[in-house]
Amino acid sequence: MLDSRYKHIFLLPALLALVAIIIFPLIYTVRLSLSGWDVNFPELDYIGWDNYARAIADGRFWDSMGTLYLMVLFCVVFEYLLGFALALMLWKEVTAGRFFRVLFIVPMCVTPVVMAVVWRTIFHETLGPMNDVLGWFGIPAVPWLSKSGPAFAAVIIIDVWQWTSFMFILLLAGLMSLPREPYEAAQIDGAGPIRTFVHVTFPLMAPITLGALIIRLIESSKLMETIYALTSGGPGSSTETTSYLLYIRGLREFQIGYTASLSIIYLAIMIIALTIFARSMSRLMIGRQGPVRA
Amino acid sequence: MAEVVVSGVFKRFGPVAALSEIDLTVHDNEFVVLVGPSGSGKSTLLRIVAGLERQSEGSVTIDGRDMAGVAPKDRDVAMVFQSHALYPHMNVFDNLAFNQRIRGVDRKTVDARVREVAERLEITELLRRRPRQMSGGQRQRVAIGRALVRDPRIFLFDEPLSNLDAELRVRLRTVIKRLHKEMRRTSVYVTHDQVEAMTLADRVVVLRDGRIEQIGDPDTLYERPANEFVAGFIGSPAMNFLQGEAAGGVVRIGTVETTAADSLSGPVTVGIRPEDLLAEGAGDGASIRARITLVEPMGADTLVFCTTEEGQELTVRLPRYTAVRERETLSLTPRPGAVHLFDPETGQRLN
Amino acid sequence: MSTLEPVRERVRGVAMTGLRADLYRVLKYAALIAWAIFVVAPFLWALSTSFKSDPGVVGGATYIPFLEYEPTVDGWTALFRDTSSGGISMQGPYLSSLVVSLISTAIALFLGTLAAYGLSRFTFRAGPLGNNDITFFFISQRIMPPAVLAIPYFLLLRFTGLLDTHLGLILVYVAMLLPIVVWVMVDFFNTVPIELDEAALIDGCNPIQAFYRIILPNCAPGMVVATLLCIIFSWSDFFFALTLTFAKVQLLPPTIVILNSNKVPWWSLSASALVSVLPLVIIAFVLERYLARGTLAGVIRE
Repeated sequence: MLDSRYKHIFLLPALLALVAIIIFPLIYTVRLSLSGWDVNFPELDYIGWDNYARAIADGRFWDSMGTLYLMVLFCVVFEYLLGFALALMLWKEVTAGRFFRVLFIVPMCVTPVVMAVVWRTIFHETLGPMNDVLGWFGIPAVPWLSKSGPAFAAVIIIDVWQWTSFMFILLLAGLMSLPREPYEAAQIDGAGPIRTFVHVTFPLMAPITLGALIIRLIESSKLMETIYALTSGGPGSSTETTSYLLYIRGLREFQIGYTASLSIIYLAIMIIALTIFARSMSRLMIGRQGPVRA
Repeated sequence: MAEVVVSGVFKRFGPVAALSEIDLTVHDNEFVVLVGPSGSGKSTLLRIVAGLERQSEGSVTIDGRDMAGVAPKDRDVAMVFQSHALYPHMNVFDNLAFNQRIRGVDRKTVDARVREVAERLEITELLRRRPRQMSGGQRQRVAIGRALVRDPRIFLFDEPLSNLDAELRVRLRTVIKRLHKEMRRTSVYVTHDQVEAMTLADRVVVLRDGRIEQIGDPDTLYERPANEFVAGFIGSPAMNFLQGEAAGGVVRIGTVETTAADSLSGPVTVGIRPEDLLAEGAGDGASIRARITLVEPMGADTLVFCTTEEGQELTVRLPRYTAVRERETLSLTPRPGAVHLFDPETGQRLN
Repeated sequence: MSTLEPVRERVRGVAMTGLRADLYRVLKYAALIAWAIFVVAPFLWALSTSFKSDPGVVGGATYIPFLEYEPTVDGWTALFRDTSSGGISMQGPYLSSLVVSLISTAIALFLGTLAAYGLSRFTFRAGPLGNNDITFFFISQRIMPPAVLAIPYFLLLRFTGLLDTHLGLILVYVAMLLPIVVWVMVDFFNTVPIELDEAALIDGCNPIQAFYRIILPNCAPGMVVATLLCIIFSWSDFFFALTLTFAKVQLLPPTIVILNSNKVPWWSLSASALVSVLPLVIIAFVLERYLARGTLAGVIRE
């Protein structure tokens, strides 16, 4: 470690920026959640815990949370399985490997909401190619955006299309950083490809896998933009995620105080859920000593 | 002209004391080597002199000027690192010239100085290369060159040869020694290798657990180590230690006797260097009998490892042509006057 | 992973032989090609659609120009025409997006790199919290959903008169990008040995010179990765652009989404989508070079 009087010059600007742009607004949100600020009464009064009491009884809010978690679960599981499979296939020297790698990371780079606009034309029931292609295989047209089940599936398909690439690149980077010696040892011990994967690759990848899963869980729980462009939360409220509901309540209906309380509850639940997930997964995958530090 | 005075320096990392009570004066033009096992605080001391680390207590002065609050760049010191620390994005020429350029020395002078130093270290043909395109030895030469270009008041070396193979280490050691003879600059050199310490130093400082165990020139250190630790640390193979009993001007080691100060009495630790054990005993009661367990011919001499009847391990250095075989028994006597006596409790020297 | 001296790609794993290996190869390429088709399909569909006109769309899905429909460039020229002449005039939003994302990237990069260097090189203490906690504090900001921050941002920008301005949006984006920069750069700086800084300090640099003359040039790949990620995230943001700007400032993503709900024909919609993601596709090509090298591996191991 270096030692200098100058050291604060490096850290402080960013830290202050972060406090100003994130922490202060967060505290302000807490204060807002205790007020009755809305369209008719835009002031920072104090109404105690009323908003929170109302939030607890708000079925639509809890439904949106359920929708979100179900979506996130499907998305992250598919993305992990597909991403890991693709990474394993492109890990070693492969003909045209670079071509596939470049292609496979394109989706994570492009604007989700713009792609959702394109996907909307693809999922169009009569004019879109999705049903057309399904028709080639004799599958009857699916009412993609007008029935709740298919709409839910459509959101997941888009998310998997977009973010499998992210899992892929994280896991590929992880695979490429693995040490060589365990593989040589496995080879000397006469382990076949499947045993090598189960006993060497998978355990070695555990910390990276865990990191990748957590990153994706965090990012996918913000799911809102695709839904905004694709289904507007419908049909009914079958694809309405928490972020989308917060947007509607807060910046469409201007129930500022109430939405602030929903935000706080949502944030608290998310942090707790992520912590529990991270703890239990690291125990499950890596054993009790916790993740290996790089 | 540069004299470094370290007085009363302590360095603590949290509750751990890395250095305690360090008092050391490095005289003008002197080559001082700090030696000790890892964790002895030798590098920390060097870094405090360089200004890379701040002492918790005490003071460092260079030429009488207190260095408190003086940045490394303003101390007029140059340093050679163990990991060479050459700038990877610059070629050798720029690496050598960087310290001059950043100090605003004009282009022509820089050019001349760099070429002169490159010539001196025989690295002229490497000037256009990047560090990664060179071998370890070449890199370390450049790192030394970077210090030379500075022509600083003080040279600091932090284990500069530790990452090199044995042969290169010897070669560069002589390069450093020759440079010091020519330039006569105050130098402080850190190493864990006591051979380097002995060959390079005007004076050696032996450190252990953040304390100075002994300061002295190489001969003194070897011939009159101040305590058991220094005695064991300096010299290779290490000194043998035996149990002895002192009484009435005589120290008894088993059946062997050597003279000692009259005042000495009670148990003592006897230290005898491997070359000071002579295999010329008559085989009578006045010698240490030891069974040979291993023979290592070294070329110039032969190392013999043996076990006494009391189960004590001994190392003996014998002349090259001594015919010895494993499982034979040697009769050993200490060379007169070459016996070191230490207090078994404190480890301090008694004779 | 050493960024200074990239290690040659090494072959790991256990080789299979004979028939099984051949079968595996066939299946592997089939899977890779299938996924590749899935990945490019939306782009190809949009590309095809962008050259269509009414007959190519209303009769059901068509794919191949000349064969299935008569291509026109109407969708593409619409990008430059005013709404009065049936166009969607994308130049304004494009320029706005460019300005906002480049400026916010530059600021976030500047602040974030300094902070990351500080966290990598110096010891900071704030009560019981040390460097790792501060680093985590930066990175943990990614947990914050935009929907939670949108309301306070909306009110704060309104108070300060920055609602619907470029500056207001840039400030918000800086907050959004800072964690990404710190995340990538701390790890990068950690791979550069601290002796380089020390050598520079002794050579005559002050800490700030040591940073930008010695360490920064050796972290160029990290800077590239951080820059590209910042551009991707700021260029692609929709939520803040939607909620914090309305009339005066129009960025690409909200503009396109609004076109979508305004029943703009599919061909100009597709063309606008394609031009808006084109820079990102180019970025993907550059990014792959750096990411696949294992640049991120250390970063993920938290």
